[in-house]
Amino acid sequence: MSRLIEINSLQKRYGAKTVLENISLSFESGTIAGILGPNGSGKTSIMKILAGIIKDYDGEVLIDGSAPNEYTKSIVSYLPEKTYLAEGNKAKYALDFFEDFYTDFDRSKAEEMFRQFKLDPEQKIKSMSKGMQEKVQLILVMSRKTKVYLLDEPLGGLDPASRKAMLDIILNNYSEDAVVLLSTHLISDVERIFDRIIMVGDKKIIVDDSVDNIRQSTGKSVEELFEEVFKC
Amino acid sequence: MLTKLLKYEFRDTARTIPFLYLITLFFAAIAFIAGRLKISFITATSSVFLIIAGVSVFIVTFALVAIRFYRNLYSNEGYLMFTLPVKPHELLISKVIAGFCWITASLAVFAGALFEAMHRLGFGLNELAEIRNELAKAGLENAIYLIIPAVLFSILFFISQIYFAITVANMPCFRGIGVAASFIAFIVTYVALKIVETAAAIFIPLSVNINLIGRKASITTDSMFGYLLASIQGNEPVNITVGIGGYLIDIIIVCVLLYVTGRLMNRKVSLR
Repeated sequence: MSRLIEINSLQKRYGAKTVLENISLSFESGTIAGILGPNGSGKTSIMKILAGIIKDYDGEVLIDGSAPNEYTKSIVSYLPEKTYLAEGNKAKYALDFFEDFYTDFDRSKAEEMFRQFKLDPEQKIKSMSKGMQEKVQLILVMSRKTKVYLLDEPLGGLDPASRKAMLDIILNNYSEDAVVLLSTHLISDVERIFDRIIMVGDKKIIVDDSVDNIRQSTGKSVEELFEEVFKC
Repeated sequence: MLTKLLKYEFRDTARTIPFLYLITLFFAAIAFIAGRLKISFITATSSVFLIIAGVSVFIVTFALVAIRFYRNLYSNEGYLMFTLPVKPHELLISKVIAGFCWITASLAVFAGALFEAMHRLGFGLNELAEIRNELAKAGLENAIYLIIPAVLFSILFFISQIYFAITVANMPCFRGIGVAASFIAFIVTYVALKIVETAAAIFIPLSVNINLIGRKASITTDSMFGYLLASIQGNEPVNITVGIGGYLIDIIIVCVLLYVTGRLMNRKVSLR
């Protein structure tokens, strides 16, 4: 197992407000980790920094040995919490786009998933429901055979049946030797897929442990521990 | 990767801008047919609409190019664009090339529409030939060939200012202002650059000297400042001196604007 992500003394401020302070983390290949925390805890900021969207941070962030750059973007498959597909385009356009820009994109796999989830590539993005749009984006992201998957709230706003379908897409399609980082509020739905849990709050890492250790040492599920750590 | 970016840039913009050309073509066809059939009322009306359509095409293209830049990079679509495995400056270059091509094409459509409409309204080639003759009399017949590169450069200059203003407006410190930030940034940039450009035109010792008596024009290393001073003092100079140092500065400004825009995109701009 090789260390794919290394974060040292990461700090991020938005104006006068500090959201991440002296965060250090590392992830080895073959890990599925959940980044959990209340709203505004900095989960999305960590994802954006790793994806190369946020550039004004302090500290060191390395992905496969490089700071976020053209190379790291070629090995990171990022699903933001927002819909980033142009609404006036058809889903087929997005398939063409990913095929052109990502050499690791498996178009036939994506088309197969489109059929599996009854999505029409000829349908325009704007005429799709929010859930369908999220499925299209997740299919695109998971059809890449890459080293790092960053999934920011992939289950937000979905009904339970769709959540299960989304989790199946993730579990059935990620590369075994990759790092999958998934941030979510919906812990009970995804707890089963995590190897490791990172709870972020009050600008720092509060919990960083394997799911098995958490269960053994606290006698609680991840969701119960989350509720205890972040109780209001 | 630049080729791929360009491919999608043109593919996306090609769905709207050529539609504007079709509207212009429609009015041109009506003016042409009415002119052939000698229906003067329709010829005049359609010619006026043709001019309006030509002007609109030019203005709307500018607006669409600016909106496309903002929407594709700084709205939600930016999450896709800024995570592509491309060199940071390639995103900017692809947008500059596509914007430049569309605005140039729209300008050509505008010029064509204007020419066709003026022709239908009775302003023909003879008048254009007269203008050319007047320029020739002033020794400026070759200056006409400078108009095209000057116009093309102006388009590039304007695009650079628009992209720079939109990028500055999307820096975290200006986000609170909202959409108005882009307009404010553009106006401030425009005014500041006009001051620099004017100062350069006056003080840089490079000018076109036009001899009014001999009707000869030549490029000299005089500055325009002396000519302006003499005019203010009431002297009537025999030669007109037009400073062209502003154009040199404009070239530098375009390079600086694009460089700074690229740097800001790469280092300072973070998506909402």
